[in-house]
Amino acid sequence: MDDHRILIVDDEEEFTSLLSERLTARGLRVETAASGAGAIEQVAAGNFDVVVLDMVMPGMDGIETLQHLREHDSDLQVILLTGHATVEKGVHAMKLGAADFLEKPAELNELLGKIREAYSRKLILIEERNTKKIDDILKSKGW
Amino acid sequence: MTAGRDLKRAGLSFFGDVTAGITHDIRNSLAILKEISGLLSDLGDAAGEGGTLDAERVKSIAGRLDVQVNRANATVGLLNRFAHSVDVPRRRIDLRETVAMVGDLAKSKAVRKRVSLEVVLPEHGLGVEGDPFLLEHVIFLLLGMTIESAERGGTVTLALSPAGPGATICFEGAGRGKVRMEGAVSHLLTLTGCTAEYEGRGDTLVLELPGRMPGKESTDHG
Repeated sequence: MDDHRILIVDDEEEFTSLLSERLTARGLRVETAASGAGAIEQVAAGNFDVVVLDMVMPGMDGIETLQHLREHDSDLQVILLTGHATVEKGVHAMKLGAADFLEKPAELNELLGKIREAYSRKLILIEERNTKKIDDILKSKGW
Repeated sequence: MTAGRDLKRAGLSFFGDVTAGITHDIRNSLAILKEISGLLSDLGDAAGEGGTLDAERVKSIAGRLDVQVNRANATVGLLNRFAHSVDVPRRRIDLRETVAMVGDLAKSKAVRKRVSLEVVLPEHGLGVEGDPFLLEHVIFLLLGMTIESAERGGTVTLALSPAGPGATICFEGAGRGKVRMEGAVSHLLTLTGCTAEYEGRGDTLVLELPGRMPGKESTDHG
């Protein structure tokens, strides 16, 4: 999982620090942000594969942050992690483009599984787009 | 629906709002405790594979564990105090305790709105007689209204002071002016015998509490 670049976004800095340490020990490249605004800045500046995003944060909440992140990069995979889980909120988040939804406190192995799935989904999206581009070029040339 | 049913529903909604906020805080603490436990397990695994276990590191992790246990304990204590406010419909209410507790209950609302919340209490004890749950509800609603109307990054102050046989609670920092007292707030003001008026341009809301709220006389609840 060496190539995966992960951004953890949560206003609980003790949580982001611990999770970051444990994911880094498992070979992921991890950065953290303490707010939605901070996450948007970091995603704009860096090339992340997966964002693990808290739903309830001061100021901009997880849903609003998710919308901004997906507008900026539609390939970006966002896993929502929250202590305020309801089925309705989960469905709403998925409709807005979240890759997955996980309740706090989460098992690290479950989160790692979801990160792997999200990363694979990103690769498939990129591959499908590239295949379509090639198909379009071939069609335009009549081949 | 009757006013009584509306108020019952509003009371349940208040209880639900508070409980949802507190369980969220507890889950945050549990999530941190789970990561700390995982980190200790990771360190144990590394030591088992021929590495060394840094005693200072373990002590530092134990300290972090302690901080989270104390935090979760304070949160559960707050929920417990709040839950007991429906024990009796009428008693002597310690207003310093009540206002401090409502301030704590509304803290997460203020944090989400990026508003600083300050609670100012008098040096000496201050009490009134009435229904503690109704009083907490009305203070919580007025504080919520003030926080909602405050500007992001602003400060809301909840200040308690004595006033004759009763007391005054000021909610300072509302940024968007006056809000009409209607629905549950209006019913609660009537039931508690309190009045709420805006001062000046509407950035301060003043709640006047009588020394004895309407209703049956006090019984000895210990």
